[in-house]
Amino acid sequence: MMKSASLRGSKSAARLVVFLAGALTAIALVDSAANLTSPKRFRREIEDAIVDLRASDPDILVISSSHGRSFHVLGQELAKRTHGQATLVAFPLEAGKMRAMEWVLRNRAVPILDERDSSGNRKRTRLRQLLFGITWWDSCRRWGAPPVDPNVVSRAWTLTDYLQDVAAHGVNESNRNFIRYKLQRALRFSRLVQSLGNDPLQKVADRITAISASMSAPRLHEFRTPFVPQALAKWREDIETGQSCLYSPSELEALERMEAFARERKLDFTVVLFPLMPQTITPIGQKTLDRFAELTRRRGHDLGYRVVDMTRLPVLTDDDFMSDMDHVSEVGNAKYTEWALQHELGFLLDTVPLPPRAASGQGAP
Amino acid sequence: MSLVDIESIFFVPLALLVYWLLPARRAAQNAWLLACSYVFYASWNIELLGLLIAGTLVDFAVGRYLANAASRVGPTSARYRRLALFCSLGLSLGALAYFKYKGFFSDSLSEFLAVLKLQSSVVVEKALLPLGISFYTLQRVGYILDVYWGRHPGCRSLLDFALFTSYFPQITAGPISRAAELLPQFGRSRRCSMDLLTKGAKAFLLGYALKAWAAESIGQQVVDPVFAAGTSYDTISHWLAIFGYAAQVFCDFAGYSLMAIGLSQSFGIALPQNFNFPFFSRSLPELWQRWHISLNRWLFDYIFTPLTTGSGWFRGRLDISLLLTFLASGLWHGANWTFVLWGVMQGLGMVLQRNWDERYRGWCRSNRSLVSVRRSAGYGMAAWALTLLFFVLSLVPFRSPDIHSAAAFFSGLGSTGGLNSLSIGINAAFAFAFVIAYHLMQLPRFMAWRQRFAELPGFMRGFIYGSAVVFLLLQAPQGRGVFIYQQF
Repeated sequence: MMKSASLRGSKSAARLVVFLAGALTAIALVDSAANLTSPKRFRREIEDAIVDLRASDPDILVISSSHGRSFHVLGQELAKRTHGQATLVAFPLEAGKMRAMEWVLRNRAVPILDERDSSGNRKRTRLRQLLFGITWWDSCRRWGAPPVDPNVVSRAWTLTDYLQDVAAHGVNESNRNFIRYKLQRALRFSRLVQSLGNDPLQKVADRITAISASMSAPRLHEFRTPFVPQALAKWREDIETGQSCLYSPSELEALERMEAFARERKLDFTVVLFPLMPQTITPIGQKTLDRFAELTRRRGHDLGYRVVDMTRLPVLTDDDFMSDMDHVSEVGNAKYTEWALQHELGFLLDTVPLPPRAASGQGAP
Repeated sequence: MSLVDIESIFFVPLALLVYWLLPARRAAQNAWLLACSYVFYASWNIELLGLLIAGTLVDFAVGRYLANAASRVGPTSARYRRLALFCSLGLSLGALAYFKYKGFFSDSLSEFLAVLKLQSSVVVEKALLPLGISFYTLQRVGYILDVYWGRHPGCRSLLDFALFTSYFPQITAGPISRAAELLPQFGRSRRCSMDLLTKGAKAFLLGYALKAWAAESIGQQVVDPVFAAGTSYDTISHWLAIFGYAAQVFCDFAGYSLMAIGLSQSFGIALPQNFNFPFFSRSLPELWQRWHISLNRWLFDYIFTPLTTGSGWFRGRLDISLLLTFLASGLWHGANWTFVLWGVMQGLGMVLQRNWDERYRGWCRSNRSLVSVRRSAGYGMAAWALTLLFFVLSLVPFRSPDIHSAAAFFSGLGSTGGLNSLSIGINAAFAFAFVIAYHLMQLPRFMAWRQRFAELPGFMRGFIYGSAVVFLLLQAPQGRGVFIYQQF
């Protein structure tokens, strides 16, 4: 009796193993195919910046939205040109917003900057420059600011932050972002996990619609306005309608705290208005950007800090941006870095006394 | 946290693993399940866990008293038993009224006074609605009434009773179980078997597909846009939206119920069925025996039957009792006049159906050919279409935030309100197709297909299930959803 029961048990266990093998094969096959067709890219996140900051004593700190990834490339070039004398650490916060970026500065960067050794001396003393890399979008809250920004929860919170929030508010849609992001980060080898909820069916349908629309576009062009892809139209509309929300109160307060921080620490403060893809800027959109630049410049002038407007960089064309129409591509980053160090951000080369060879030339060999 | 939330990826496997690693003793298994249930509840709001525990202690004590006092005879004992019953019901229903209906009654009073041109100085702040209060209150009230009426001997173990009132797979949204169904299962130890786990996992996965993919996709792409800006959409969009909402509510609730049933099955505990393909119904009584079965069973057991079979004025008055039962159902669903309207519509529909059936039976007695008419496919189709149409239309107030919006939506169904046409995303179209296929697969003519699938080699079936998981991972919208029945 017992023998037949255990035999039954081992048979059903074997069946389960075969079943699970089939299921895992399907999942692994799809994941491998997805990895082959669209290989994953490394995207620098706040955690990477924290590792870099812990391992260095930077001269320049960049707090920025996801465009901070371009500043990281710039930092690498800067280190090359200064023979490792100048160190730049860039904190790129996906989805930006000034209040969120200021949170990162205050809660993630400053505690490391203020670390002391066993004798009570500060471990990091070289910081001279604070760069704040933004676009108009980072100052704008169309629908008001949530109590906590979801990008802060997911990309900048520590486990302690999460547990404190759960203890205070229970598990909710906001703090759930922490677990969701950590899981995605832990399983970053899987393209499938990175694409959760991406609705590829709709993307395929959209692609087919776009192709058929673009095929009929030349004929339409004769009678109507030129065909504009949906994503581009959305970007244009966003910028065009952005005037009403520039420097929302919560974001202005965050900027004020950044300014105060730079003042207290006697840091050279620079606000960099990051380049946008040229074709996303219409004449009406340009007015939004002009207004934003004007407001920022006036503030910089009044409070005595540098504002560098790189929104329309002559060296960057539409082809130098990624397909998301927001971020600069690898080639674009190289162009941007070259231009920035020659022109608007050239002052960064003077942050540290350069060795004679590098100081005289454009680039280090 | 609910079973569809991302925390469940860690919570559910851990709960299952520890549960089956524990010695197969009732006390150990129940203690672990209770700990999991309290953690599950506290993860939503730790302070309101106290309310759940307090209610559990009170009802356990009252249940013990009612059971012990049942054997004593005499008017004093009966009076004390009645007093204990009212205390328990008063506390349970009082807590429900306080948290759920306080704002509704005060708002309604203010509006009424405003109509009379009187000013109300009463300002009542709406309280946070404790998670699952509508479900666990009914379950506890059912238990107390069962013990009072002598249908159940009363639970002797506080551990079992605490688990009965807070069992985490069902606390968020049911199914509402009877004491006689759950307590005996908690009273014995459970043994793990592959059969339990695989059946449970299958039900859980199917429930997840309905809830996380179908309900969310249809809701976001078909229902929400039209209900948010009804006046700008045309008539066809209104019809699509309301039929979409029927599919969404079904997938949302039947899906979560299946997840709860599947998870519970993996713990070796059977929960009652909550949905039985309600869109096949050919009459309203049939629909309410197939839709949210556990709630309707409760309403008929503890409201309708006592009213119509008791010694009071309602005895034998079926129509008014039906109206009251469905009014209670409407109010249970939400503290809003739209739910009252929904309840009244259902009640009137049931009254109409009952009277039609009675009259038709009368006609059949004088004309036997009408019996075959009733059995014909044409009659069946017409009955099915009318039932479905009535049910779908009754969902307009159910979904609308207020009576005015419901009226506007109804007018949008009849005339062209706006010029915009709803464009249904491909994901929602697939989800619709899935809901239809899910129903069709239950028809006898498709049984052979199911049988053939079950006979496929294990690896092949695993491969198909794995592909389904991939599809759900990619297509189920992430992190934006609402859980309709959790709000009730």
